[in-house]
Amino acid sequence: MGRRALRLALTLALLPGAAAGEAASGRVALFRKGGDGARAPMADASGVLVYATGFEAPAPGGPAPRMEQRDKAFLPPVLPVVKGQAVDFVNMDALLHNVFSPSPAAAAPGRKMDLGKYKGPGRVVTYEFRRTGIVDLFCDIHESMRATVVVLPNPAFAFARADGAFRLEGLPPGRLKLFAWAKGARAPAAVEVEVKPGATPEVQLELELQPEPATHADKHGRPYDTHPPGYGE
Amino acid sequence: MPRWLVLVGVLCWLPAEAGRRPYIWSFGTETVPEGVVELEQWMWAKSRTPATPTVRSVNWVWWAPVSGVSQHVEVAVPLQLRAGAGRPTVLDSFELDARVRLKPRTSQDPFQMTFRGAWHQPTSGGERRVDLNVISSWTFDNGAQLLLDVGGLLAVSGASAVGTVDLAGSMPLTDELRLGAELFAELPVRGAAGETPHPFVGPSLEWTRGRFWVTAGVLVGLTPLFPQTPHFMPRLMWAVVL
Repeated sequence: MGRRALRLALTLALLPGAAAGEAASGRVALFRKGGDGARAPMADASGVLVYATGFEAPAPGGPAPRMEQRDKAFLPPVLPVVKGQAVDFVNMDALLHNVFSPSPAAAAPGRKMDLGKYKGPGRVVTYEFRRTGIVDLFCDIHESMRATVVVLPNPAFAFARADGAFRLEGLPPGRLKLFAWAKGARAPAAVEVEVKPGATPEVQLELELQPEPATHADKHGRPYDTHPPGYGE
Repeated sequence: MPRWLVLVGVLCWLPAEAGRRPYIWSFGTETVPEGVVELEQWMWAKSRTPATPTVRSVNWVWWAPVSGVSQHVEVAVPLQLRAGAGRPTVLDSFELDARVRLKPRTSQDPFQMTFRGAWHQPTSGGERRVDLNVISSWTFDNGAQLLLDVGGLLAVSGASAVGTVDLAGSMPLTDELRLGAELFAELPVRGAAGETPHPFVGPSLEWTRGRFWVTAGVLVGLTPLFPQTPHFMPRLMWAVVL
């Protein structure tokens, strides 16, 4: 199941927003596929995001999620949000950054996510994510900056612990699909689960990571080495 | 004021634009990203008008750097050259053009509104002028868009005023190609006694690739119904992002 299937899975909204108070737990086993094709287990699964689809629910109230640009890096590298949530992009560096995303889930058809160039420290640009899916973020000035926003249909998500254990809260009763995803996963791992009132089902997932591409294009689809000297300074 | 001068003055209106724009006459509600500069150039022409056979066709070149000043504001400083049959090419005017979005450029709302104000300073005759536009658009989930642009060209002396209205629509054909259509009209309000409205209709096509975009189209005058309307007004626009 590739990215297209992931997007399809994330847009499912099969169940009405009934009272969502059940839980599911389990464990994710993380593997890395090497260049020789061999699969090796990874000791730390704390970067794995586990989430549920099959129902929609709004994000809980509170301050907007925050994606910082700090020391020419995005923090956090993976940010899960609920569809319709606005994210504060905060430039903490005293230099220009230009956050953009080529991902279809980032913007309406015919548009591209491009926050423009702005300098910190402390300058904030807010962006609302209205479509579920994986949104890859880059900086048009600094090629090494990469992050991912995962836009989900509901707030029932959690990062696994280092040992792979996880617990999802706020699930409605019924048949749902749980997914596990991490940066470098070619496709998310999926499992179906039956959630019953008062019961916490246990599930097991296996997720395989591959080396990420070394390079990517700038916001115009061009290599970064075509930028003129001093670009962004 | 001679009627032809008013007509030429109206057609001297060259809206300053920036960012992707699928329409050849209407200002879209899109602006250049903050901190980004585009170099834009237009070439356009106005053909003869049956009702004023002594008025020759005119060609224009418009060139400007367009800068995204903030998430709401875009500014352009265009210069314009004018050439006509049998006449030398002259530096026609300078402008200072600002467009302000009601919502920030990062807004994902389907409804957007932009306000435009421009100072038109002639250098080879003609009136100093203030141009004002209010542009509203609604973008559907599939990327199709409807737009309404209502404006005015106001001579600083008060001698002439022309209203403009542009109803436009566009839709994406591919990631890089967008098709548009416009119904545009100039409405003489003052200083053009006996002047009738000049309505036009026509298509446009926009192509974007990397740092470059180009839009081409033509407005066809409804001359059989309004003889004071020029037959054609084609326009070609392109820009490169620095």
